[in-house]
Amino acid sequence: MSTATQFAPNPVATAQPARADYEDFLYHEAALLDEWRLDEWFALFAEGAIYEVPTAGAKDDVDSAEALFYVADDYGRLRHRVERLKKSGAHSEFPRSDSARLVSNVRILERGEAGDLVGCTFVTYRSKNDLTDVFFGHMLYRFTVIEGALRITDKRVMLDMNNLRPQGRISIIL
Amino acid sequence: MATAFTPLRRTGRWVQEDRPAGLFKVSREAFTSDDVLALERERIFDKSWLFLGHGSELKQPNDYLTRRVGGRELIFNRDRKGEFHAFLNTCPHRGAIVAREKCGNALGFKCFYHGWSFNNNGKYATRTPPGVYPEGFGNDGSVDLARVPRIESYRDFFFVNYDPNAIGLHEYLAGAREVLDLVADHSPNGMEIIGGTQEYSIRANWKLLVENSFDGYHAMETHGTYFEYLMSVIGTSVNDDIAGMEDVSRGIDLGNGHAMIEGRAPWGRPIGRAIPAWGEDGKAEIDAIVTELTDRVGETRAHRIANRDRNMGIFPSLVINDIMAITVRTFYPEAPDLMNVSSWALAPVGESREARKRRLDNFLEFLGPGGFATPDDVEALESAQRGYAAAKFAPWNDISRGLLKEQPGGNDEAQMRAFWRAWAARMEDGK
Amino acid sequence: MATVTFIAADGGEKALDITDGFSVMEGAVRGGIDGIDADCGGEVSCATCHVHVAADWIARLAAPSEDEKDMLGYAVDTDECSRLSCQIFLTPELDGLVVHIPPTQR
Repeated sequence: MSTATQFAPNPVATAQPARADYEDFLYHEAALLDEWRLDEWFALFAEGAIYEVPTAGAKDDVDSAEALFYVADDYGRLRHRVERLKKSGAHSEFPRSDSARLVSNVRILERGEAGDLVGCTFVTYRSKNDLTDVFFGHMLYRFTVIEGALRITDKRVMLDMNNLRPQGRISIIL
Repeated sequence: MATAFTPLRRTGRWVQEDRPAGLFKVSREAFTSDDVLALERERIFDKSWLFLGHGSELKQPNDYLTRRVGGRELIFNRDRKGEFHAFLNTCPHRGAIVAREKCGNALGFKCFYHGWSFNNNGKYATRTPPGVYPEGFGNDGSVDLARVPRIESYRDFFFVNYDPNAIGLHEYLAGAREVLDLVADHSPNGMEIIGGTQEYSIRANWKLLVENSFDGYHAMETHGTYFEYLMSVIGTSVNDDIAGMEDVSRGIDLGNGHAMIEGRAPWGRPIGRAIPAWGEDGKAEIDAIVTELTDRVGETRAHRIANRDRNMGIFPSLVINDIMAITVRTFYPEAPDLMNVSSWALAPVGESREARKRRLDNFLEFLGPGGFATPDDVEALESAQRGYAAAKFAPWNDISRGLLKEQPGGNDEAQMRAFWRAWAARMEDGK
Repeated sequence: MATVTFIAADGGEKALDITDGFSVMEGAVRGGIDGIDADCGGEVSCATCHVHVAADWIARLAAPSEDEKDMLGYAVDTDECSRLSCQIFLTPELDGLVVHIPPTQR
C-alpha cells in the first residue's frame, strides 16, 4: 500500500510554515517509514542533519558528547543506517518487521532564525516473530525550508518509557 | 586452554567433553529448564561475586543508587563518612521497597508504607511510643536494613556475594584481575562510568549472552554489515582485515570460569589506535594519549593496552569488552528465556570533549540496541532460544571448535568451554 | 544563605554558611559538625537531631509542626528552646542563628 506516494505534502510557504504543514510532514514521514521507503525518508533530511535517540528518560537537552545514547548519527552514519537496513545482512530486520507509527500532539515549540523547533508525541508498534513491542515518547525536530520543501536538520527521539524492556533493539528507525 | 585440573572426559547431564576426540557438547535443556534456573540461583548466583557497580557511580558521601543484582533489589550507597555499602532494598518491617528512586543523595531512607526510617549506614532510626514494641526493640540490629553478606572491590569495580563464606574477590577473580588492570590502566586519573545506561531485555537464556559476548566466530556472518560500514569509513577490504585479525587473536581461560578473547580488530581504539576518519587532530590526540600511557606503564604494556582488543567474561554474567570503546555489561535471568541486560560505557576521567564524543560515537556504531551490531546479536540469541523448543529431537549444542588446538584462536570456542566447565563444576559436581 | 553558629557541649564554637532551603541538621551533618546524629536523615522519625536554640532566636523560628512536637517528646533533656534541627530550614532572616548541641542524643 503506497499511501506515501499518493499523498505527499504540498510545498510550504517559505515565510512561516503553519503547524498543519509540520503535522502533514510528520504523517508523511511516518508513512514512508512504515512502508520501508527508506531512501525517500532519508531525502527528508538536509545535508549535515543528525538523528539521535538518547537513553530512556534522558533530559531533552542531553549532550551526546557527555552521555551514552542509543543512537547518535551524524549525516554520514544515518545514510549508512539506511543502507544497512536495505541489506539482508541486517538480520534483526530480515525478514522485515511490521510497524505502525502514530504521531500526535504536534506543536511548534519555537520559531527560530535557524529553523523552527517542532515537538510531537509518538507511539510506534513493531511486530516480529509473533511479538509486538511498543516504543513511545516525544520527538523534537528542527526544520529548515529548502526550495519550498521542509527538511529536517535535527531529529531527536526522546523515549519516555522506563527503558526498552522487555525488548532489546532499536533496529527500526523511530 | 584447559587447566591441569580438569578431567579429559566428562559425561554430565548437561555438559559433555571428550578432549582426546576433540568434542564438547552442551545440552539445550540447560537453556530451557526452570529446574536448571532454580539450581543456578542456588549454586551460581547465590555463591558467586556479582558486579554491583563502579565506584565512580557514587562520587560523593551519601550518594546512592538502586539496582537489581542476581535477582534481588539492592541499594548501593555511601554513608556519611563515605564508606560503601550494599543493602537489600526491602523494609525489615513488612518488605516494601525502601529506596524507590534510581539514584540520589540522602542522609537516610524512609519507607513509604509505614514510615520506618533508617540511617544511610543501615541502622534502624525510628522512635515509637513505649509499650508498642518490646524494650530495646531494634537495638540488636535485627530491624536494621539487611546487608548483603559480602561487598568487595577491585580497581573500583564493586562486587557483592550472597554467600557469607565465599572466597575473597581477589582470589575469585584469578586471571581476570590482570585484565581488569589493563582496563583500569587506560587512565592516569581513574576510570568512570559515563552517564546514560542502556537497559533492555533479550528473550533468551542468559548463558547465550555469555557465549555471544566473547565469540569471535560470528563476527563476519552476524556483523557483516557493521564491518562493511567500518571498512567504508576506514578504507580497507573487509575480508583482508578480518583474516588478519585471526592470526593475532587468542581464546584464553582466565580460571574460575572467567575467559576472554584477545586480538587486533580493524576499528579505532580511543586509548591508542587512530583511524583516518578521526583526522589529523584525532591522530594527534591519540598520539599524545599513547605517549602518556607509554611513559606511565612502559612500552610492552602500553602496546598491549593500546593495540589489543579484549572481550572478557567474568563468571557468571559480567562482560567487560575493551574494544572500540569499553562496555561493562551485566545480565540476569528473570526466566529461562528472558534476561535483563544493563550496559554502561566506561572511560578515562578527564577525557577531552572531542575524545569522549569520538569514544561514544565508536560505541554506538557497534554496541547497544541502536548500533549496527547488537540488534543482530539479539536476533541471533532469540532465534537460538526459539530453536531450543526442538530440544527433544536436537538436544545438544556443539562447542568443540578448536578443542584440539594447542592455542585456540578468538574464532574458536575455548572461552565458552572455560565458562561451561566452571558451570558444570557447580551445577553437576556441586563444587 | 545564613550563617549558623553551633556551640558544642564543651563550649567549642563553629560557624557554617548554610544555603537557603537546607535544614540546620543537613548543614551540620554535611559540614562535619559532631553531636547531631540525625539517624533518620531528616524524616522526623528518630529525634536524634535535637538542638537547644539560643534564647534570643527561639521565637524567630517558624513554629514546629505537630509531627515535630510529637517526635521532640523522645529527645533527651528537652526544654522550651528545644527543636529538631532537621525542621529548621534556613532563610536570610535566620542569618546569625545560634544553636547549642546537647551532650547526648540518646
